[in-house]
Amino acid sequence: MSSVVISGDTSGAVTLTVPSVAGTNTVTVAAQTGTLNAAGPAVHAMAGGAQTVNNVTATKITLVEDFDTNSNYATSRFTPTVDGYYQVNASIGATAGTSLSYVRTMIYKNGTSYTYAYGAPRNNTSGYAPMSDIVYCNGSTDYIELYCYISGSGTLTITNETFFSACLVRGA
Amino acid sequence: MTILIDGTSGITYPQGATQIVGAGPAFSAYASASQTVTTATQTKVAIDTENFDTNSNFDTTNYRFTPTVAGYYQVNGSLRGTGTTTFTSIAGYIYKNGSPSKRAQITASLTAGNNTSITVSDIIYMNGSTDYLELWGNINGTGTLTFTSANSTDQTSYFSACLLRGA
Repeated sequence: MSSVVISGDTSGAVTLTVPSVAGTNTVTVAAQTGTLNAAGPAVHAMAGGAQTVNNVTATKITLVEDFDTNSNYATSRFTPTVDGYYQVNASIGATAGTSLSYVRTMIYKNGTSYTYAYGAPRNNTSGYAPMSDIVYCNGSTDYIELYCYISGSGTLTITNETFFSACLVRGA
Repeated sequence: MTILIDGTSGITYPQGATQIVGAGPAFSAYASASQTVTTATQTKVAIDTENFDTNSNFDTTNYRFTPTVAGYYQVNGSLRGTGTTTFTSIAGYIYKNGSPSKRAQITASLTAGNNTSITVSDIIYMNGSTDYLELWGNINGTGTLTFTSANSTDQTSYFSACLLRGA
């Protein structure tokens, strides 16, 4: 079996070794005719229990990891160490003790609101707001967090319908 | 580190090695201003401002993504609607080549002025030449009906896509 081997050392040098067979041996990796996408950071986290929040106040949500392939998720913050574009999915589920006006799922990037979705109540006291987007992160300082913003009355609680997930879908 | 390429196993690299990622088209854009619409009428969302557009495949004049690489794309579209008098439903659509391809809808009896978002996410094949995608929406209600958005930190009507797999 013929193989093409690309090897490197600690100095950063890369060696390409091609089969010792007659004829032309060409490896072509066109820039945009396919996608190799493996082992990039991926994370999924969910609400670990009920979390009470204040009315009409942007509040960071505390989540518990299901998986975190690159150890990039800590203190409910995703700081990917690979520069690139990330598919981000999130939803806030909420209940209100008396009445719920709306729930807002908010993606914060570097401590500032970036994108969000509104959810009207599905009944008088509960609702959720799912959302998905692609967000660029620089692989060093950029970070993403999940926030909620709920309008209602009575005790306002984040439910176990709440989650956050992200996965690298394209390099920088 | 050794990366092995052969005709049987494909590409093999050590676990924990530097990630291998693609460089296909990716874009993210949003509506920079609110847009008044007519009840029960399919309306293209004016996605006019880019966050990024790696391959210059998004047209901010026609609000259209025409990727130049054939393959399968993760596509996300989200639309926020409001109504000043009554607001009974909102639907979001990903149009492919001018026709609804994917749809998500919320139908409810909402109070006037309620804010509601609808998000559509799916994987869609694009041929890399003539296929294009647009975000459309439809609100049912009375009074002033609006697709709402504002600025870069208030992105509530937005559209994004990224190549996941080549054709």
